[in-house]
Amino acid sequence: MKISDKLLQVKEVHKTYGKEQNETVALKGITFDVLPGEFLGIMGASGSGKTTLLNCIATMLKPTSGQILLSGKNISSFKGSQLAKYRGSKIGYLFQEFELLDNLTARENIVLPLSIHGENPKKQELQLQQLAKQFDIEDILNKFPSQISGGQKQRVAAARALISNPSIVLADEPTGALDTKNAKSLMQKLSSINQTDGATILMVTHDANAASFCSRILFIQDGVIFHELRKKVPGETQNFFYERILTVMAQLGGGSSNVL
Amino acid sequence: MFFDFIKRNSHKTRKENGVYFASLIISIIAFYVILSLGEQDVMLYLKTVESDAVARLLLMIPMLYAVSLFFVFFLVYFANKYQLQLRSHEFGLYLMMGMKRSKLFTMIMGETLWNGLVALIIGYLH
Repeated sequence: MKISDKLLQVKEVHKTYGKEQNETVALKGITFDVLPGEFLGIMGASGSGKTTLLNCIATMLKPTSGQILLSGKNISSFKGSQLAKYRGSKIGYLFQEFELLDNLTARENIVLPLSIHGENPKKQELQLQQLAKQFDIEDILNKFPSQISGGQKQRVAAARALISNPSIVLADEPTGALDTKNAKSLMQKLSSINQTDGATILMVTHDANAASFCSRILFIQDGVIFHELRKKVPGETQNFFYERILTVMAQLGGGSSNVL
Repeated sequence: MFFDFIKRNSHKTRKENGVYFASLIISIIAFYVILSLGEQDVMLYLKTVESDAVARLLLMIPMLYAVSLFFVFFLVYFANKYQLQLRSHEFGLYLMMGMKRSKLFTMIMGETLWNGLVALIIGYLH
């Protein structure tokens, strides 16, 4: 496989918070690749560094050492308008707490990334309608965030993350603030977009249920990759994959050697 | 869209922070009352009766002026700082969605100018 085939390459990324005595090591050298069209899940206990890793990819944090390459370009070297362009058109970010703007309607929230870039939102109307249909939010497009439910908010946020056709969608525990029913429907929609439109999704989660929708899962423990699971396609059912995830999760805490 | 956005944001700011704007208005009124103390009818009348004492009082006006300017300055400064701090999350979101820093700056300036214009119109009408 050629290097250019890999969409995202994370090479030996280290991240340390604080200085000298207060140093906390969050990432201790993480290396992995993401291929186009993949639905990659990252799992791990809290404090294992999974959100730090995602924020490094999203350029919210700078890794202490190591490289993150998107389509062969080192994203930690981006500055100014290049960085703004990367954030606006190459990545879509899905937050745990939705982060919709209260004084904009659902429709305006979705097209916000486009209007920030000065694009004519009318031109994107077709895409907006398509995304609204995929996420089942057509009838709430003109409502404000305070008038819609949490599940709908996250679906609006997902449409916003996808409107600019990003190379990769980064999701930080997108189901964390949702109930099981809404979480399931969101994951089904994300997974169908991944399969039909070939959108690459990188999701951090600690919910085994949500993770069972992924095609590959990395388990992180104490800042290093601990295990990797791959869904066997075709053939493996989601239920069976879910069972396998649970088995690994049981090992994450140290397995039976840690049972008191 | 961009200007519409600015207008709506500043409207929200005015609505949610009425207390701060009210306290700003009161402090500015107080500031100008002190400033115009020498020209007020009461003072002009008192000057004819108790010219010595009033002259001494009016001597203190520059000091009062300086002190109240000091307070108004810090009130405006902290009110704005509080505003920005309250919205830092929102600004971070704009940056995350690919807004350039210069555009964010223009947006905040635009909102402030718009708010100032509204305040000016209110002041002029009164």
